[in-house]
Amino acid sequence: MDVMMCTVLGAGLAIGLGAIGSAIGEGYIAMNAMGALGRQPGASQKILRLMIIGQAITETAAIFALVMALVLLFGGNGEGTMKAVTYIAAGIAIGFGTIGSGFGAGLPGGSALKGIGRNPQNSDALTVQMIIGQAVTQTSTIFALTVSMILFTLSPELSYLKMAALIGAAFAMGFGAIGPGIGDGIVAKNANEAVGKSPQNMGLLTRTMIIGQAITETTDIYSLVVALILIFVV
Amino acid sequence: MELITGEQFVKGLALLAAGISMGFGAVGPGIGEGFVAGKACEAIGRRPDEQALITKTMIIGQAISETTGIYALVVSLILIFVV
Amino acid sequence: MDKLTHVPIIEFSVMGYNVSLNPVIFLMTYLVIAVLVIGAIAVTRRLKAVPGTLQNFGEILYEFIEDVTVGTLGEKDGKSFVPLIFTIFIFVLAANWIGILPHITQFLGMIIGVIHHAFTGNGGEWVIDGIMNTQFRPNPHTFYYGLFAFPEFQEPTRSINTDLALGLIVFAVVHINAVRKNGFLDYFRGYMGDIIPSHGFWILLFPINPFFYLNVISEVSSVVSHSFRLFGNIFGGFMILVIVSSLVKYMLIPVGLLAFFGLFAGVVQAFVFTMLAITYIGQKN
Repeated sequence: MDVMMCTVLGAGLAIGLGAIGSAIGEGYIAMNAMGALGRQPGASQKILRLMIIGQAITETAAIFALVMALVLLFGGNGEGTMKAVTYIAAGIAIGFGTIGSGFGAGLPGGSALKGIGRNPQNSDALTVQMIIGQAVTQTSTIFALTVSMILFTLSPELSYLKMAALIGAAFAMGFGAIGPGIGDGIVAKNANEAVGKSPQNMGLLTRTMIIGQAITETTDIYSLVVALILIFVV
Repeated sequence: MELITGEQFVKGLALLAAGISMGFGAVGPGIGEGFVAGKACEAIGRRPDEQALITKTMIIGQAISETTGIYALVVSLILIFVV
Repeated sequence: MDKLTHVPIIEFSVMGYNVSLNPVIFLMTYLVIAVLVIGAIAVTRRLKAVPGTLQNFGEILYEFIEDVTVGTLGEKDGKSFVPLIFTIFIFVLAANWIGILPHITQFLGMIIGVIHHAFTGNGGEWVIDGIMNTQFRPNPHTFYYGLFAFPEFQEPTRSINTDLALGLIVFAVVHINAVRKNGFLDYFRGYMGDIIPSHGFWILLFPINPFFYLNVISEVSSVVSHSFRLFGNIFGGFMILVIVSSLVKYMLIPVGLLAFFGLFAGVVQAFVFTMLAITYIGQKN
């Protein structure tokens, strides 16, 4: 099998799968922006601004996938069967790994826009809360990117066991990042809805949201640990 | 490259299975814990003075939702180190 | 990209055991400790009833942590844990932030260099190699070259050893406190679950109680998740920076990412680590 073919396959997996989540998330934000516009046509400036900020941050996951796809396409010039396997594994890890947080980051954006639709006065509090929530939601993508990059730089010795372990690590991190990404998004979504209703509780809500998201990511961390064990220990 | 032996084949499949086990095992608890914390945020938004109680319940609820994630971790560690 | 794979290690043996040590992380940890000690002395040197700027800053930080701790653990227990929790918080925060310094100086050096070069023409040279690789190389004789040659700082928390040590400290505090507070028997009973009764001699049946093993595993995995959460986030942020700056050298994008991952993620992760430590203490208290 040609190594070149595998880098192209890896890059395709990375960006093809990686674009799914962000696309849905951004669509969700735009949908809620339309709803908010229908309610408060006078606040269209604020709604537009929040929508663009929200979509830009939701895009992060897809951008990480794009970066990894570019790295694979232009930097993937290793030799041998094992390098080919690492390139495919890197593509799988980042591709599946970005679905969750791409979709998840869309949820708080949508509920922030719903909040603006209810009361445009709260737009500053909602913007800050949305940005914090979305930023913490990116954690699972960051883990996936880490594992993907480690897989990309690895040059292991030729063995069937290592091959299975590398593909296993990619699946562990890739699928493992989907659930916590969406879960983080749900936490941030409800926190944003609560801020939209009562912005005076924002400090408390931000704190609870960050703790809730941190605990939601625990299974993501187990995936990271299993992936690192499969890469380095086996 | 040498031909693959039966023992290696089994071990290789076990490693692959370990990855898939942890990967899929993390999906459910991740979403479930998200629901718990999300509802906790909603409750705090309604009654901020019950903050301590809600946070405590949230953490216990999340710890229990995570149990299946820990099962997945245990299974994949067994697949890596024991099988 | 070779930053990722190259780890400086000193190896030596003590009493027959092989010890390997990463000297950069070691030095950085002591640098963080020095910064914190000097900061603490500076803040508390002249305490006044009406606080000055520095004292005010220290008080805000301390009161924030005190609020959170007392809110979770209760008035009496909370107060006794505040010093430990605050120490963990400022150590992790300073450790997460210390890696930013060289990037800031390098960025300043680049701006000064580009302006100097634009006016005088001998500040350095532009190396143009495609859009992605264009970079400015300063002249070694210029006055700002020192900013460029600033040594690379590593966040101590980027090494899993520091994070595991912090996680184990919290683990030890949690369990010693639980045993001291409830007595060993009650503490042990907490691991039993509800299927097999855990009073009287039934407790001797713990080797056949499956919940005992599950609870032990979940305790151990809490240390792993606690420390790997910090490690994964800081290491992931560093890795994004390496990838992006290898694609786009010395341009503005890495600096923006740096401000995000260094400052924001640093403070969020320090807060999360501290909050989880408080939560673990509260759960077993």
